[in-house]
Amino acid sequence: MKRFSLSLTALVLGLFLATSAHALEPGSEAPGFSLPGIDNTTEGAAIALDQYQGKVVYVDFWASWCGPCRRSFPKLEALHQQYGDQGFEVIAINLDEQEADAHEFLDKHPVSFPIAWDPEGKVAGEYKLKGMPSAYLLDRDGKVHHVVVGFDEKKDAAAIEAAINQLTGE
Amino acid sequence: MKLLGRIVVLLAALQLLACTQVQPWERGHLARPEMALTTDPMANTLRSHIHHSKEASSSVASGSGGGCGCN
Repeated sequence: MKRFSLSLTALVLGLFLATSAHALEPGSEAPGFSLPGIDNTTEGAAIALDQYQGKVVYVDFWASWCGPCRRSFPKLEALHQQYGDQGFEVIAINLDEQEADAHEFLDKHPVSFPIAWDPEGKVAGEYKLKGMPSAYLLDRDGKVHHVVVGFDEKKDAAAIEAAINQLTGE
Repeated sequence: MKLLGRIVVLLAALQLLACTQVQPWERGHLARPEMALTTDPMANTLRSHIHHSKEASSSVASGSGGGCGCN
């Protein structure tokens, strides 16, 4: 009976360990992806990370139901406008289950950067998001430079802009 | 009888396999207003504030409740 309860404890512990995951850290290689584009891209064309080689890329994960995402979009649009000609790109990956929800959001918060759609959260799983929104600023070598979880207009926006400024200037 | 007990415990443990962490990007349904603990977070905060000032205590509950893991 003792051995049995021991193995039962091990089983339960194992289940807990299996669910914990480590997020992407700065310096690690950003996982590649190829997702259907749903806005600001050629109709029916996929958005793949390797199309953006040599650029400073801001990979943003968002959903229509996420409050801070709403606040982050105007700022991202401004950064995209400002740093676009210096090799800065934004890829916004939507995680809504229904594509219509994403379009409703985009009608209210219009942006000019491409929107990809990951309804099953496959890419989100590979990036091991800790919260919503989550964003990964990648340098020109495709390595993670800066991780943003949540979005605070004052604190995060300034830090993101400083990092973009540094990376595009390199 | 002892064997039956073990089988029951094992079956109960197997149920744990169904337990999984809801990932941050899967909280769309939890973020809906009808999933919130209170219908009016602001009224609830106010009521809680008054309650705790009258009781001269402090609250351990968070102010507004929702299922979205947003900051």
